[in-house]
Amino acid sequence: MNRKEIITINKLSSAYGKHKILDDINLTIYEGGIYGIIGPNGSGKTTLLKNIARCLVPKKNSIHLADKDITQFSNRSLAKEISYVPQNTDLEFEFSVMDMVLMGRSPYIKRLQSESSYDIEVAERAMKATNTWHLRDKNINMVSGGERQRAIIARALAQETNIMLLDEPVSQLDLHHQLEIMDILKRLAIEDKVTVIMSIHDLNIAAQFCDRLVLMNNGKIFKDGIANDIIKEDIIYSVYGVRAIVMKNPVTGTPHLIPYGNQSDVHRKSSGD
Amino acid sequence: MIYVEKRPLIKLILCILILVLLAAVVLSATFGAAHISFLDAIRIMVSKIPLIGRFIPTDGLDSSHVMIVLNLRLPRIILSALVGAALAVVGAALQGMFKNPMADPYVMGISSGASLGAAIAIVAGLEYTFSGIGFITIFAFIGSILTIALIYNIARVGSKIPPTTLLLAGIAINCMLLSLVSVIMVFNRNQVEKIVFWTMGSVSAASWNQIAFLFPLVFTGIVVILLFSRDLNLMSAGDETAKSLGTEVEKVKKILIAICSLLVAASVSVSGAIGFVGLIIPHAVRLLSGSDHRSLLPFSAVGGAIFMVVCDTISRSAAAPAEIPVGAVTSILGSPYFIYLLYTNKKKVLN
Repeated sequence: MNRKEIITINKLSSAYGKHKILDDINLTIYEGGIYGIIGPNGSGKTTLLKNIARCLVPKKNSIHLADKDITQFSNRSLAKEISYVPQNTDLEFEFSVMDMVLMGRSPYIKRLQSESSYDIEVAERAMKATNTWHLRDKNINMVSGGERQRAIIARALAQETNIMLLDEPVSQLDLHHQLEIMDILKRLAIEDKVTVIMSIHDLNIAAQFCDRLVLMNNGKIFKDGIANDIIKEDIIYSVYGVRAIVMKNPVTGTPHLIPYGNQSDVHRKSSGD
Repeated sequence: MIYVEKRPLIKLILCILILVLLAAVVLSATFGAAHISFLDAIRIMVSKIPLIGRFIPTDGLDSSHVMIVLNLRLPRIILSALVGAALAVVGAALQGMFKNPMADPYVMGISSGASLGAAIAIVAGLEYTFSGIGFITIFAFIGSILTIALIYNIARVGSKIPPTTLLLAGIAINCMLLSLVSVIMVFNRNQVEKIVFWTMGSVSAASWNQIAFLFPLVFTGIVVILLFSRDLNLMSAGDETAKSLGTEVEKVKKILIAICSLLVAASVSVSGAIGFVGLIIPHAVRLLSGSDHRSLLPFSAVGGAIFMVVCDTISRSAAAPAEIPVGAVTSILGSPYFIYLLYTNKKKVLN
């Protein structure tokens, strides 16, 4: 494997006040493919993504984009490299779906200019790729959760970046829409060579769609690698405290996790006897 | 339709609104004790416009009417239009910036600072004027600027200004300063009426000097806010989204808060506290302009100006020769709309 390094994270720490969230993160992300960041609640997945997206400003020289320190970028130039789909995407005021997608062109539009026909073309392409073109005139607050998530991915797509970060893009969606979003992301990674980095709770979906998993625990990277090396009974037990068996998904061949008990269940049983 | 496609239509509606504003200005000039016809009012005003004015025949116009329109009614009308435009644009900008449809220039507590400044000037008997601008105005302006600086420093967390702390600090300071005004009134009973009238808002003391002070501020302020319309669109989708789409969020916020504060301070220092304009006008014009700040902000400016001209006309002619404070008129018209807004929001939540 001789792929280009696209993001290098070096000794990254992050804290809210005195409360440390990330502790000594070292990670290299190569161009192309889907990276799934997994781990229990509070393990630092979102904080890691926010640091890469620079919504939280990391310390100097802890994150490099290609060879350049991420703190050296202006917001505008960074927005041409990295797009970010945050977890909460409320819009208080009413915009049409397409106007919202066109916001993705902002880093390319100067202050007194308005969207060019090229910008509209890019937005249209992004909307067709995410199956949201038919929603273009609808109010963004009136479409369903799945449609909204697709529209926001279209906005990120319209940014024409090499890297797309997504914070739990499927956790609030039903099964059908989860797979739909994952399919879109997979297609982006393969056809458009976009490097997708997403946090995700569903380990089976992560194992099925992600090319590489980064398992986080207590603000540190517990282990990273391909799904077969991460989704293992002993690893899952030590990070999540969950007893599970891992089988092979008969269709995709990826590891499939079936949880059957909690660490606390064991305690309850022993004290109850 | 997307914004770019709607733009011709939006421009047309804006032109119509501007015509409505001009009509309101002229119509308002005909209201009052002296009967002046609509046509005469137009002739008097247009004759004073450079270049075009020469072609307007002024013969047959009553010179006292000319004096009344130009020196009494017009300054007042223009001043209320400026105040209305400034307050409405600031309201629209704050609502977008804080992602909060209930944000309003007065929530930030600026007006109470102005009230305290004015109360001090009134009690101290500073009735002189300084190059045509009263000391009450100057004290009100200083009071509001100091208040903003105080609120800003209380609310600031490091280099960030979270909207919640800003609004809460505004409310707290608002209460404190208004209490101080009450205390001042208790100890200066003979001045109570004057202070109360000032805090209720009025443009009755309007003069061309005040317009000369307010116009450049309001004009440049609104232009600068307009330059940030696209950033405001992004910020109404959330700070993180705006940042990841290339907006320097904290920098833009500081610039906008500074300009908004200056606009509100200048407005309240000439007019007293006028509520609800900044809150309801952006919501009302949103029905015509949509949520895109590129159209919302100019619509708010014109809409706010129209609303204030109408309210001030009501305030000086509804119970003539007595005067209803214009702040009371805007609130009487504004609060039912505010309640309507709450009601529809409540419905949305229930659904």
